[in-house]
This record gives sequence, structure tokens and C-alpha cells, in this order.
Amino acid sequence: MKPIQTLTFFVLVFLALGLAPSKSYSENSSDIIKTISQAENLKLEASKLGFEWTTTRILLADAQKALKTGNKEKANQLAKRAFNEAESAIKQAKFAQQHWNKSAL
Amino acid sequence: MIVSIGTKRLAELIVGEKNIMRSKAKALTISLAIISSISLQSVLANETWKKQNSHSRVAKTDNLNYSQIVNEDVTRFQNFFVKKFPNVEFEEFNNGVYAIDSESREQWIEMEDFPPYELAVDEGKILFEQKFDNGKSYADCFPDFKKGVRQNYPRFDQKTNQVVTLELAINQCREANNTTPFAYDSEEITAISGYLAFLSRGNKFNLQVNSINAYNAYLAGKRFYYSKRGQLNFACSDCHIKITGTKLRADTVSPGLGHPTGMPVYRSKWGELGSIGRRYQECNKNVRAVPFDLQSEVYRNLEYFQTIMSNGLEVNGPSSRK
Repeated sequence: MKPIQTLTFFVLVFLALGLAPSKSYSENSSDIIKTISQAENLKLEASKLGFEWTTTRILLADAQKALKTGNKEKANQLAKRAFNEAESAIKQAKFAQQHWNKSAL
Repeated sequence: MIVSIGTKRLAELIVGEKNIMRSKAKALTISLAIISSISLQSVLANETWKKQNSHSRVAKTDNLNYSQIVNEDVTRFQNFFVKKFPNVEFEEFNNGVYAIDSESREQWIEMEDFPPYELAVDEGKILFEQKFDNGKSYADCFPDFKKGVRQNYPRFDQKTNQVVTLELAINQCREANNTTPFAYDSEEITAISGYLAFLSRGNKFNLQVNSINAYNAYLAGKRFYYSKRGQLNFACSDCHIKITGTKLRADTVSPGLGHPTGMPVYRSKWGELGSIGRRYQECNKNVRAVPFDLQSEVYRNLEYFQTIMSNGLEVNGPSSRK
């Protein structure tokens, strides 16, 4: 391979690697909006059970804010954390329903 | 020679394999025995628990002696604290953390020389004596106010099928006299409540649960008290039963017995008098759980449960706390 061909090859590889979207940026806005919406629904369910956490609504508000400013990676992370928290709050409510009496005097 | 060594090693390996197999079989047998034992214990414990707590779910019949069931709860609850703090007289538990923390108690006694809630009580008296537009007054709603009414609240109202706290009763009085109710976080309602508590000092709580609906409200409050919530996964009982008397950061955790007796409370942190509902909200926020509205059914039921647990203690509200 001639030096010029080698150079072109490496330049192309470098460009390809540099321009390729990383995993965290691969989520598109509609996926993030979907996660936020699912987290909102779970949060609502936790609230109806009386077990909503204060931190979940903060995460959701921050996720919305990050999405608006175009920081999709952050928005996606926050939305997923909110989803997990809301899910945990529901599990906590169900656990409490079944086991609260075990610690009662 | 090499073949001989190889054969010997192979034989050792086979024997070793057999030993390993025997060990594995032994381990498996022991594990199965342990698992069976644990399962059996768990089933037995579950059955015992079910028997002991047959009244812990929502009651559906009116044939049970609710008063007796609740009084048994009260005895168990109070005995726990009496045993936990053997040097504290039962009557002292209405002083909250100051019953168990001698250092804080000294500061509190000094603070009580010039009680920070005094102005609010005076304000409450003025408000209480004001007449409504129809000429009636709060005294028409609380005819026994001079003898003291605080010890009768919260009570279960059979007509409206709900727990009525003193704050709710004050607002019901206003509404019955065509007057706009106070906001539950207003200074006015807490001042009137403080004044009525002040007049009731020395009277003992002795709330009774005499109906299925009252019992279900009590049970809802009890369930809340023992349910873990919030991101920190804490129940009221975790702090005020399990770790009561120990330190949370710089503060001693108060015992659960006697919490409602000194309400409303002047907290230095708030710089004003506040209701027990406000304290519930604060506790919920501390464990990162979304709090409920003041005078929501949830908090009224919780107050009902907590006050019943303090039966036999004297009203000493309004009080002051750090």
C-alpha cells in the first residue's frame, strides 16, 4: 500500500470513529419522551398508593429540562432514574401492604 | 515409570472425585434439611403471626369487641416504652424527648420560664372570644371549653364517618356559623387550638374505639405508623420505636409514646406554633416521602391512632420543642 493510500485509510477510519454516534446519544427524543411518560405514570400510581417519593418529581422535572435544552444523554439518564424510583416506590407500597404488621407492637 | 505415576494420579483423581461427590451429596442433604427447616419455621411463624394479628386487616363485622382489641394494643405499646426507659415515670412521657434526655431537659425547663407559645395562646383567646356575624361564638360549639376539650380529640364522628381533630372541629364550627374556614396552616387556627389545649392541661386522654368504622380509621392510622415510605425507606415506628433514645445526628430520637399530648407545638426551628399535621409533613419530607395535606384523612387517622396510644397521659399542650 502506498503511503498516500495508507494515510487516506487512516484518515477515513479516524473520521468514521469520530463521527459515529456513541451509545448514550443513540436514544432519540421520542424514546426519551416515552420513558418520561412511563415514569410519570408510575409516579402517579405510587402517589395514588400514598408512597410517592419527593425525589422522583425532581428527577422528572430535571429530565424535561435537559430534553428542552437538547441534552439528550442527561435527559435519558434522569428519565430512567425517575422510572426506577417510581417503580421502587410502588414495590415499597406493596411490601408495606403485606408486611407492615410484622413490626407492629 | 511415567505410566505408573500417571495411573496412580488417575486413581487419586478418581478417589478424589468420589470424595468430592460424597461431600457434595452431604452438602446437598444438609442444605435441603436447612431449607426445609427454614420453610417449616417460616410457615409456622406465618401461621402464628396470622393468629396473633387476626384483627390487623380491615374489619368487616361489627361483632368484635373493638375497645378490647385496641386496649390490648395500647397496653403492648405503652409497656414497650416503660420497659425501654425504666427510669422514666409513665406520666413523664408526655414531655417527649425531654422525658429521656436529661441534658436537653435542662435547657427546655429554662425555656419554659418564658414559654415561646405564650403570645399565640393570648392571640387564641382573643380569636376564640370573637363573635360570628350571627351573634354566636366558638363557645357555642365547645360548651365545655373552660373544663377543657383537647383530651376529647381526635374523636370518631359516627354521623360523618370520619376522624374529627380539634382543628377540623374549629373549622366545622366556623362553617356552621356561616364563616369561612381557616386555612389549616394559618396562625389563627393554631392559636385557637393552642388556647383550647392550654385550658385542657392536666386532663387525661382516654379515647375509645367503639365501632367498626372507628376501628377501621384507627387501623388505617396504625398501618401508616408502621409502613416504611420515602426514598430512605423509614416508618414512623423505625425512628420512634426501634431507635428511640439513640442519636440521629445531634438529636435524641423521641419516644413514640406521648407525641400528641403537647400539640400544638412551638418549634424553635419553625419560630411559631404548629399542628401535629405540620410535624407529620416534616417527618415525611425528612424520609423523602411526598407529604399529605394538612387535615387529610390519612393524617387525621394517624393522629387518632397516635393519640389512642397515649391514652392515660395528660394534655400538656401547647408545648415547646427544639
